[in-house]
Amino acid sequence: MILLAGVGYSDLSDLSFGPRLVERLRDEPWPAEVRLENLSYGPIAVVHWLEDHAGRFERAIFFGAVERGREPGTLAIYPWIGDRVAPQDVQACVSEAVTGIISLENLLAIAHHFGVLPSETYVLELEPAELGWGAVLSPLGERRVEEAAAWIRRQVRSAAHAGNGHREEVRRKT
Amino acid sequence: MCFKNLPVEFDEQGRPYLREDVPDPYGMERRPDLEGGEVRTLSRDQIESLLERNGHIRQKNFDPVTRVAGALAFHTVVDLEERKVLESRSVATLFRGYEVIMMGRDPRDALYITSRACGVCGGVHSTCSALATEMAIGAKPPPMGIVLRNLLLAIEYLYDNPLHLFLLAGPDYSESIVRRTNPEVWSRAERTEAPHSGIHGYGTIGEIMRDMNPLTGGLYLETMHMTRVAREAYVLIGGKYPHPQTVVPGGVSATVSISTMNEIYLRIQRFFDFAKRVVAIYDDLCDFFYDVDARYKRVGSMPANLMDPGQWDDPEAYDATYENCNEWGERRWATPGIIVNGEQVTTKLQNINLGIEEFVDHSFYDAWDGRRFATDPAGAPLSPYHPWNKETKPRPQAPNWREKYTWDTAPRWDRMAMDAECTARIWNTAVARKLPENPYIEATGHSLKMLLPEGQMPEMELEWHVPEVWNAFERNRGRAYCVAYTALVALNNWLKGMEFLKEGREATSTRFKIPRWGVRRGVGFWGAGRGWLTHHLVLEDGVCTNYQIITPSSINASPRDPWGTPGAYEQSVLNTPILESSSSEDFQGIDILRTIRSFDPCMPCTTHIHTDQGIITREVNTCACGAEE
Repeated sequence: MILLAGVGYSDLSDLSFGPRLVERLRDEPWPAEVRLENLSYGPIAVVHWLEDHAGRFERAIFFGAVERGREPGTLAIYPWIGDRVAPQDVQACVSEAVTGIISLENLLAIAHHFGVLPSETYVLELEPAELGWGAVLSPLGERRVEEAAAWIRRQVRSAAHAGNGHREEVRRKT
Repeated sequence: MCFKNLPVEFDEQGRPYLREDVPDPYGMERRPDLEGGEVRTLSRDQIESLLERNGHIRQKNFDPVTRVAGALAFHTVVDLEERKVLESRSVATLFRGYEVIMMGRDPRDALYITSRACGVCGGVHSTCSALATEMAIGAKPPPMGIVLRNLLLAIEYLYDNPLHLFLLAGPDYSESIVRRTNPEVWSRAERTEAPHSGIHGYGTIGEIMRDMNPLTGGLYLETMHMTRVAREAYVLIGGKYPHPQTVVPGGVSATVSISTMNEIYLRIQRFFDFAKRVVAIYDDLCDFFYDVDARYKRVGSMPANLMDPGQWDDPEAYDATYENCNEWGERRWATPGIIVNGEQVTTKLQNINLGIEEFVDHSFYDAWDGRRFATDPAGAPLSPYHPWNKETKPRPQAPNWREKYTWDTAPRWDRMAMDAECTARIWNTAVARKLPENPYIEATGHSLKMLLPEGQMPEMELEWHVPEVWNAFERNRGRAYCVAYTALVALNNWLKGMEFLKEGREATSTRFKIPRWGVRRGVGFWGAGRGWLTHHLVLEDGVCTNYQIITPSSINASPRDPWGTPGAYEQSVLNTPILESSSSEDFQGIDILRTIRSFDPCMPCTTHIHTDQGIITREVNTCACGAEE
């Protein structure tokens, strides 16, 4: 099975890219082997959920907004390589997770540490253009939602790989 | 006598009144009598001079303090020769805007908005908000609603307290930390037999410490799993965690059946054995450190001034009125109370409420007039600095140790700095001896006896004793006993809920309307897993015109007050000897960190909200590192 999972807070403009994309993907039919989930809650609880589904997913695509100082609107896709996260950083992630922080990176670091991520895990992330409070994404963010949905659709249909182990920018701001 | 500093006395019927012979009764001129608990602090000029002249006197800033919830920075000046702390300043670096956001809103919004003050204990804010609202509008929940609320919040603490003991503060006592900061303590731990090995299964203290290692330790991992058990029980009533959807004024909107109750019990009972082991582990750890070096008793020490509003209501006593709060308060499963220098001075919620004041002399806020309410709803005198009179007037600025340096205010009770963490709950309950009759928990006046039922392990009686010293270790030990105590409160309420179901008393909420006229006040007296929690509300023509939240960390992390008395973190760090044996170059400040974390800090975060008109609040984040000297 393929897991499609969005992560992020709601009502935070482009920072809500993850849950917004989940909402958008729910608008269309998906094959039975696709599981679409909004995993925008405590990373430890998500780890427990993934433990419950151990072995069920061969592949996962996690998506959300992450600020990395790139050009706003950049949509990046890369395979998750969690070995780069040092144990002390994982511990910091756990401390944040159990005290209420919801974060795509924290979730991936913790889930990787506890060995619950599917063997093929990809990350699709948006460099947010608007960081303020807002019930909707920026016009640029909304366009990226459509582009991300199209990319995910293609991936699911072709079951093709997204990358070669390197971070890849599939769409730049236009 | 209840109050020593506020000019409030009691008539023959026990009703509080304001002394007439005191001019300007709430003025700042009289220095409070701290009953020997005065804290000697150095002036900024003295500190700066010492820093200039001595290489061994250094600033040590913790920014942020890690393994705590939210944004806390801590500034210290330490003397690495004399091994003592010369200055300490607690800095809340984020503005908490809930009071501002609530202005002009329907009080029902408060359930959901204020819940977001915390990502761990949203349920207690929802509940406190519901209590404040139901008091203001006169909505008394049905007994089953009260029992379910009790059960929900007991379960929340079964998530919260273990989390602190093994994931947040716990690593401070793990092999990985102790070996680095105090190798001599680690060596001794490796060869010291654990007195309670028969209960927790660890042969030596070193084995306990090894299993407390973050990420890999068995206790760390087991506790992560137990958070799941607690969450599963919680959502059976709350619908979701951490922000429940079913807590409402007048009860809870969820209904339960026998099978729901059984599902809940299956999870609560797993904490009986867990609690036996947690208590045995922390008893062994605390006693071990005292044996290694008696000076550990001074780590995090301060006068035993503790405050707690009590919680978990008696379903037959609670009527949601302020007028009867003394009566229903004293029938709670956790007795409200104030302890000053180790002695309980009141268990009456009205007195507890009258003694609360908030000061902003060293906080990033402007002062307020505070003359709106001269009395509480029962006619007793109220300070202009009381939350019902307070206005939140944020004034962002650069931190300055001489003036304002934090977003936290300085809440005081009877003008004394207090400790509001969760051991205050069992301490007040133990000495008050007012617990409802039950088969599992007994308050003896000097201890709390707890009978934990058989699980995989046999039935076991635990006894928490009022400690001889009040310090970081006793805070953690008390929190460990709180796990057992809370599990038994949950069990008692579960049994009561089953009784109500059998009797057909299944109603869980009361219909209510928000009156659209008049001025009404309410206060939610409750608690969080970490300790104290109150929400004070003023409703005017159906909307909130004042909303004030005091959390345990508001009290514990508070800055100096108008008379220069430091808050609980600041005091207890000043009293902490530096016992860390690592070199000056590798100085970690572990004794200071153990002290701060022993309070289980939770700094409520900033928040923002969006309306059709645009953004009405903004993010304010103040860095403590650049404070002006």
